[in-house]
Amino acid sequence: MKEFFAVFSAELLKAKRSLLLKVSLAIPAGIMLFEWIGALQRNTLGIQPGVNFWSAIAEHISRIWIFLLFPLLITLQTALIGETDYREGTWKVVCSQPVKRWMAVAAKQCLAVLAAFISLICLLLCLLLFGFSLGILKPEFQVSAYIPLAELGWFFLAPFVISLLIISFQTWVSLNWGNFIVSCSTGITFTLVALFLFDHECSRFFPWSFPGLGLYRLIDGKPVDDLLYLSLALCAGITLAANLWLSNKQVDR
Amino acid sequence: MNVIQTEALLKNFGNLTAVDCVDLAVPAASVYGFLGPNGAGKTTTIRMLLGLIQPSGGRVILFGKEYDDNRIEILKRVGALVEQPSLYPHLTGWENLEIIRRYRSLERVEITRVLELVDLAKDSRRLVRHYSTGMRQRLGLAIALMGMPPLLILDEPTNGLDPAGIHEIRALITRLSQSFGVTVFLSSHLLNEVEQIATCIGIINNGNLIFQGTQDDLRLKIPQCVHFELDYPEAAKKVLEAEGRTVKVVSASGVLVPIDGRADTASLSRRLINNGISITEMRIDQPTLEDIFLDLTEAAGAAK
Repeated sequence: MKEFFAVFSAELLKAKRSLLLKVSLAIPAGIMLFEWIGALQRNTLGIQPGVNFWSAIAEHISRIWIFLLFPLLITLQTALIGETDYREGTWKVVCSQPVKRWMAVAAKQCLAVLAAFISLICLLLCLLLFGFSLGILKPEFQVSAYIPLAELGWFFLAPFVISLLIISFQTWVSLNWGNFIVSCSTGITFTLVALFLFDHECSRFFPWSFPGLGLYRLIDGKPVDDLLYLSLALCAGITLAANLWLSNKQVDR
Repeated sequence: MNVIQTEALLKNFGNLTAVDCVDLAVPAASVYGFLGPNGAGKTTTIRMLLGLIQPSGGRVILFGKEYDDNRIEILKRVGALVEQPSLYPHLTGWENLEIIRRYRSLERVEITRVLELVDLAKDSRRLVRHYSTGMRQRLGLAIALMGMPPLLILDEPTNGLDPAGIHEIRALITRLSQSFGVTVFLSSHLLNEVEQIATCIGIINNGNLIFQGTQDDLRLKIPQCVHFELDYPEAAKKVLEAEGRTVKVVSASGVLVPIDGRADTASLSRRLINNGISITEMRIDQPTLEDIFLDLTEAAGAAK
């Protein structure tokens, strides 16, 4: 375990001053900034009477976030993680160090999960800031003093856990091809396919649709346990297969 | 004991055989110069030694242990610089070394030690993207030196260095080998660089190891020649060829004749003078490593 943490800490150091960290913070903050500017220009947010301000805002933001922005952000983050070691050929240096190859791959997968989680936390913090500032600047919006934190957290956390499957797959793509364009185009294509498939029956079988399906179930007050278990099982399967594949892959660059 | 030993090492890329049954034997504490023209198979061999690519056949034995079964244990004792130095440009020199320190679980003081060894201590807090080519090369070497591994595998370590830098690295490699018993496997196409520091030499061409041994063994491969400056080179050629000698006219007044020891020179000059040919100048031509290298690689190329 100590060995793995040493490898993971090396991955963390590689992220210092990198585009990965900037993107992970700037994209969620940017989305909330645009929403905030939009809200300031409106007279009403169109929230139904009796509905908590925070729940309504969280539902609105989560639709944009889970369906489109989060999968695209994951795509970008994993592509950047892969590129860190392929752009300058440092992957061969990593692979000639006395560490198990699967650990180096697993550390990258953990970094991808951490980066996505940091983005989620950033989004939630910005969401709180969004609400508090609107409460001060636009008293007519009647921002509720009660914040259903557990409900808000689960609203974003459940689709995040379901998205681990996508993170795992995209990390494998970026490390296997070591090409930023291949990684990005794969993620963008699957995200768009998931959007087109959303109302279709077969979306239940397309992993990129799972986070959206999970979100809709949460909005409808339905359980998402089966989706969570299925995603986690698939994520574990992909992670294992990816580790095995990449551990035996020739390092010819 | 050989620190590096390969047995019938083979690597095919589709129909192309990049490395063909190479049997390397690198003695402990030696500086082994691994020479070959571009595309000869040097880097492919190095990648197989480091386990970066899987051989199509044969065995790699490092420190007397089979690579496949002892990868981690072996890599703890190997430092490498493969092709151009691969660095993280958005990090400082120190941070690049810190990454390797974490991978190798070394003490922090190790970073200071290697930075001083390669004379980069002053610039260690600068971002690598602002480094010159020579500084990057030195940092790459520092990465290979982390933990003072008993085996260094260096692929073109003096690339991009100025003459003073080359001299420093050459001195460092010699010192590491002589004072600390480090075995250095040095791949290069710079013959004079290898000639000055290598105790053993391996020459690879078209994937085949065409020579392996000491520099003296290598020099024996091509005999010495005597160079005569004389008034009638064509006449001299006729006289000596009549005796079964190989004579090469190299200029308007110069001929080159392979000899078998210095005594042979006296008999050749006597023969020429007896035939009325005046010798104005005579010298022994010692073949340089470059001559031998070109001769061997051309001969191997022609044989193919």
